[in-house]
This record gives sequence, C-alpha cells and structure tokens, in this order.
Amino acid sequence: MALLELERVSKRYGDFYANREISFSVDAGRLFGILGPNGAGKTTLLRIITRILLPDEGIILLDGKPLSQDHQRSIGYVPEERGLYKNLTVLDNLRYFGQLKGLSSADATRRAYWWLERMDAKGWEKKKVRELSKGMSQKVQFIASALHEPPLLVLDEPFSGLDPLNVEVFLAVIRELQSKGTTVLLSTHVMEQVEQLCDDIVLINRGHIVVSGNLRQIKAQYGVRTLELEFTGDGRFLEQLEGVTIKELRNGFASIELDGGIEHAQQIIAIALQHTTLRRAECIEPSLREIFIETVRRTQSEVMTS
Amino acid sequence: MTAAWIITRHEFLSRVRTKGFIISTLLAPLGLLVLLALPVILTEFASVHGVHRIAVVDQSPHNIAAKLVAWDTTLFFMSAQPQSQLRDLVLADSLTGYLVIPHDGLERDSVVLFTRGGGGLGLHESVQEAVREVFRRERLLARGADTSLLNIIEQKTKIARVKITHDRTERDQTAALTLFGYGMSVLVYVLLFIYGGIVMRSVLEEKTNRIVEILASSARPFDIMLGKVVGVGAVGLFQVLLWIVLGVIVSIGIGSLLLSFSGTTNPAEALAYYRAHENDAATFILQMPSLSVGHFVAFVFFFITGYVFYSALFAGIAAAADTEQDIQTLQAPVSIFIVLPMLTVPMIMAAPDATVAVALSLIPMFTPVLMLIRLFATEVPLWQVVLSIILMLGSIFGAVWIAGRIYRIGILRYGQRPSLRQLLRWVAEG
Repeated sequence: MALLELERVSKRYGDFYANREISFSVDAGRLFGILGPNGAGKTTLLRIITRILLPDEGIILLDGKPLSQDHQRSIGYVPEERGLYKNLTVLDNLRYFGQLKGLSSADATRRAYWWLERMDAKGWEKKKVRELSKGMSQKVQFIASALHEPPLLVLDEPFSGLDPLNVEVFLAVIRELQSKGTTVLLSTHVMEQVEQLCDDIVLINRGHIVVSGNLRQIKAQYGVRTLELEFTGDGRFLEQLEGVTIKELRNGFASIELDGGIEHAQQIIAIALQHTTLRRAECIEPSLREIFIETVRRTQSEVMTS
Repeated sequence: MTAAWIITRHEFLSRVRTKGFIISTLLAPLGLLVLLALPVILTEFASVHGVHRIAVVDQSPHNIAAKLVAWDTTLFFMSAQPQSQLRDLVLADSLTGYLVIPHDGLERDSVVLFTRGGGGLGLHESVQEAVREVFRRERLLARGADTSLLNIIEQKTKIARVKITHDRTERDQTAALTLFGYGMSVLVYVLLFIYGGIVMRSVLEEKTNRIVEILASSARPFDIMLGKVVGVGAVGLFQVLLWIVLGVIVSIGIGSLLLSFSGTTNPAEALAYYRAHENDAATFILQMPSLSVGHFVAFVFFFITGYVFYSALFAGIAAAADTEQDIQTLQAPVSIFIVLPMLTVPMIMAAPDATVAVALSLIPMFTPVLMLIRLFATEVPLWQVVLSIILMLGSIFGAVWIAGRIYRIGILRYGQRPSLRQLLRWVAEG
C-alpha cells in the first residue's frame, strides 16, 4: 500500500523549474532512494514532501490524504546541512525539536536518553552542540528527526561526511527502523549505499524523473551488459565474434561487452566451451553507478540537442 | 500546544536563563542608582569636609585676601609664607594650591592660581566666582561707589533669585516630567535597537546554521517568526517590568537614604536642609515628581507596540540576508525610522502641543518615541492618544504581514542578497 504518493508535482522559481511533473509513490515500510546529480532538484523535492515548501502544482497524498500542516508530525526530517543550536546542550536541542513534533517535555527527554544510548552517544546530553564533532552532531540531528517515531523518515544526504564506522551505525539504525515499519525516503548521490539499502528508486535530473521503479527491475531492464570468462586455452576466438566488444583479454581472462543481453551471453558461453576449458562464466548486471552516469549523460545531451 | 506557543516559550526561557540577562537586568538599575546617588553623596561629603584648601598671597595694597577668606572660609585662608614654601606644600599634596594677587592685581584685573593641575571644574568655578565677586565689589568701591549702591546691587540680585526659585516651583513638575519623558523615550529607543537586534541576529543564526529548516519541517514559517518576535519581546517586557519594580525599590531607598542623611523624617525639612547645604543633586531628587501608574502603562505600551512593529520588520530583513553585512545594508531603511524621531525630540520637548509635534507623534513609525514623550510633557487630548493607538495597531498588522511574507521566502533562499525590488516582489507574490 502506498504511504506517499506524488502526482505531477512541480515547483518553479521564476522561469526555472526545480521540479517538473514529478510523480511516484512510496510503499509503506520500504526504503526509497531519490538519486540525482548535484542541482537536480532532490532537496527541493524533499522540502516539498516535508511541507517546508509548497508545490506550485500537483497533488501529494500521505496515507491517502492530501498533505497538510498536521502531517508534519508524522514526518521526521534530516536536512543535508546540520541544523542545531550551537549554544544549547544536546538535550535542550532534542527536547525542543521533540516538543515541536508534538511530544511532551518529559517524553522528549526520556526518548532522547534512550536514543543517545542507542547511537553510542551516552553522556553527551549536557554537552553544548558546538563541542561536538561533525559525526557526533550528525547523530544528534538524526535523533532529533526520529525522536517522535514518525511513520515517514526523510533523509537528505544522510551519509555525507561520515566516516565508515559511523556509516555502519547509521545503516544499522535505518534498517532497524525499517524493520519496525518505518518508511524511509533518502536522497543521495552515493550509489553503493543505494544498492545496499534501497528497494525502490527514482533518478531525477534537471527537475525531471528519468528513471523510476524497483531497483532489481531497473537493473534487469538495463540487462546484462558484461560477461566475464575464466578459462584455460586460447581466447583469441572471441575476436572473431560479432556484436561483441572486448574490454579486456589476457591470459585466461576475458571481459567482454555484449549487445544482445542474456541470450547472447548463453551463445558465447557455448562457443567458449568448444574452444577452451571454461572455469568460470559470469553475467554481470550494470551497476547503479553505470546506469546513473549513462542516464544522466543521455538526458543531458537530449536537453542540449533539443 | 501549538507550534507558535512552543517556539515562544523556548525563546523566552532559553534567554531568561542566561547569565547575560540576569547581569544586564541587575546592572542597569544599579548603574542608575550610582548615577543618581553618587553626586549627592559626594557633594555632601565634599561640602562638609572641605577637601580643598587654597592659600591666598596678597601683594596688593587693598587687603583683598581678607575679603576672599570672608567670602569662603572653608576654601581660602591667608598666608604669609613665601611662595617657595607654599609650592612645596602643594607638591606634597597638603595644600590644593595658592592664589597670588599681584600688587597691581586689582587694576590689571588678574590673579594667578598655582595648583598641581586638575582639581576639577568645581574648584575652578568656586575660585573664579569668589575672585570675581570680591574684585567687582572692590572696583566699585575704588571708583567711589558708596555702600548703599552696593546694597542695591546685592538686593537686586537677591530679589531676582527668589523670583526664579519661586517661578521654578510653579513649572518644576512640567520640566521634570518632560525630562522623565525624555529618559523613557531614550530607553524605548535603546530597547528597540537592543531587542530588535536580538531578533535579527537570532533569525540570521537560525538561517545560516540551517536550524530554520528543522523548524520549518515542524511549523509554519509565520508561526516561527511570530514565536520568535513574541518570545524575545516577552524577555524585553520581563526585563522592563523587573526594572520598574527595582526602580521603585531604588527610589524609595534613595528617598529614605536622603532623609536619614539630613537627620529628619519630614521630607520638607530634608529639602530645606539640602537647600541650605547647596546640595543641588539631593535637592533635585527630593523635588522630583512621582510618576503615576499611567506613565508606566504608556511606557510599557509604546515599548511593546514599537518593538513588535520594528522587530517583525527586522526578522523579515534577517531572513532575506545571508551575512551580517547584508543585514547592515538591509536594515538601514528601517533603522532610520527609529533614529529620526530622536532628532525631533528637543523640538517636541520645547513645544509638545505644536501642530508639528502632534503630526509627528501620530506617524506610526514615530509614535512609540514621540507620543510617549508628549504624554509626559503635556496633557495630550484623548482623541490623539486613541488615534495614535489605532494607527499603531494597524501598522503592526501591516508590518507583521509584510515581514511574514519576506520571512517565508527568505529563510530558504541563499546566495545573492535580494534587492529592494525583489523584496517587494516576494511580498506581492508571497
């Protein structure tokens, strides 16, 4: 069931469209990634979803109802840049933001302590935010967004500037929240994390959606592009084949690019069996990075030529 | 609880709990106390104990020294010591200075005062006044004026003094109240800048630290702005109320202090005592009119309305800015309207009922300062008070509306500082 639905949502600044006719839906309990290069309109889109900005056109439904001011209490938001009061303590920050999301002061305090312990940040509550390192304040920011246990968590570039250890802490917490039913919407341009985390994605460029859907399906749709072979024998037979680009060919290893997808790969494997003793053959799907770069380049040049 | 209320409460509590607030609240009246009490106490001590002593060396044939000593026995004394010895005494600080009257001093109208320098204007004035008066009398006598003429001159002076004093008691209240009004309007002026500045810096801090994005994901921009303005304003109001309470306590304290100094419990007797001792500061304080509750209500009301009007505009300005420098540029067209009425204050104080004064005090931007001072300085007709309040409240709604529209767009805009034209478009498009 869709928790969040966007229908032809547009946001304009003068003549410039930050978002143009964006439509997608996010199923409850899923991890949904919004991808795109810098300046694609990701942050504007997240601000519209969190109702910081109002769209010029289009409809947004949360839980089947048009997005309203009251819905802000069902959403937790971590902006790209940290937003905490530097002169206040961690606890004062968390308590204030928790209360703004509708918690009582006592509840906010109790949950703040629980979360600080959960995020390996026990004992920070009396520290002023200015004393915290970047990673530490990022944790506090995350806690501030999750304190009121919102059904929808919106994270704008949540991993930027984090060391690998902290990335692991964040990934674990996000997965844990998801397993409890929280729907997570995150924007990023770090493709590896999307591949690890996300169920569904939209890829936006210049305010438009260029690719959207289930991550597995998208990759399947882009098909098998690369075939890797390990063998004993002479690999030069590959050079005679049609519809094949050899990326690498050395003693006992070949990496080739195919035009014809998985069936084509089967044929080549069959031929390879006749010429060599095949030890390993692997059909490799394109990485999200490749899809991303290719799509962005293609849409860029389409815009250029049109 | 609504978001606006949560923000208001947070703004109020997080500021009132700071050391800065406690210190400034306590120090301001303490400063006032020192300012008022110190001259009184010092003058009292100075005149009673007579710290200054001046030796008079008379080389003239007219025996002026004796007349000078007779004029002020605590300050002057005759000396036959040689000047070199007096010089050593002055350098050793056992003598304030010595006054040499040359043998032709009366004819050439000049004397020489030797001191270590300094000593203050008070000392200089006392010596000058004594020398002038004594010399004038001597000159008149030398030209053959008889004592009856001298008496006439002195009588005249005395009669004039009485008149002035009598006249003063008639007008005293107005003059003092006008001065109070001036003090109050300066206080409002300072508070508008202090608390407007707090709102401005705090909005800018929230914008540059991206806190406002978190706030905007939890509340309407208008509620955020309103909560900020009301919360910070509540801090200012709280401080002003504390000052009024402290001020009442302090003035009661000073009053009883002055009474105990004079050794009576009757204010009229105390006043006579300080008049006799020529303690002007104490006399002034004892003659101060007491302020009515209405005066305080007017002060608080015009502080609040002026604050809301200007701080809302300041909030809008800060939201449109990116840096302190942007703020400096953008605030000028607003701040000028706080400064302008201060320039007309002398005129308003001189003629608070003039048409110009009435007109200026009805202009909403000027009302907080100018109507306040007029309410102290004169009897303002009721229709003018009511009209100024209506215009003020209307302008507040306008200012908050305009600022709210600029704020909503400004808080999420970074980069180039918007021009005035762009700001107007933000207001129009909102």
